[in-house]
Amino acid sequence: MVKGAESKYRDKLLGLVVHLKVNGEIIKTGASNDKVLALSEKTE
Amino acid sequence: MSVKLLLLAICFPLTAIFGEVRTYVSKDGKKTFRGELIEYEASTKKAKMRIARGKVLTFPIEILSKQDQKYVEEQGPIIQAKRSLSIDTKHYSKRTEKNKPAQGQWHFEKYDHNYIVTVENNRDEMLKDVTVEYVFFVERNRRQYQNKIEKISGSDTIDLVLSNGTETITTKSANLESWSDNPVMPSGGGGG
Repeated sequence: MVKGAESKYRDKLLGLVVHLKVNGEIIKTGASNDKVLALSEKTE
Repeated sequence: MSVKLLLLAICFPLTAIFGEVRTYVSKDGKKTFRGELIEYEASTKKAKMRIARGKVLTFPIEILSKQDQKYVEEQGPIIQAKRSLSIDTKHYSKRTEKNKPAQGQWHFEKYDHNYIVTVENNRDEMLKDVTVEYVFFVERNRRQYQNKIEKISGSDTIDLVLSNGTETITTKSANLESWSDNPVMPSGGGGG
């Protein structure tokens, strides 16, 4: 970083949601953290 | 385990781990209790249930109403599947680009993020042809917009997860960026 410059625009990784599927059906869901899992359920 | 003992369970709120917490009715319809189905053994027609205060009871489902017996018989295998699989993720990142801004240019850095996903099969039977679908949730922040949620999807296939075994996949990378607010100014003079 350049001294004196301020990094104001930073992308943020909220997390990862994972679905396990067998024969097209979801048999298990997991996530890297609870917040991203809740976000996923909210946006689906 | 008698219905009476079951129904003496204290009514504290339960937190479901595998199945849902629901109200069960006795065969004669006169009494109810709240519990979470943990396991059902079809060969013995016995259910294991978590009731109030975390107490776990095992009892023959014939003491329940017909409707509840049917529920237990249907949900038992599903809950068994849920219990027997676990997912773990491990996050990695690396910087892929960093510019050396000249005077008047913006400074930025770019990163690749990915995860190693581990699937653990605790069942007595193997799991075949498992599709692992994943979604990165990224919050994009730029000069033009902030807090924009972006989903980056990907998938992979695991041919076989042995019983009591684990398999891993590595997700594709999600690219994230960081931009400075102010362009590089000429050095010299006071400050910086």
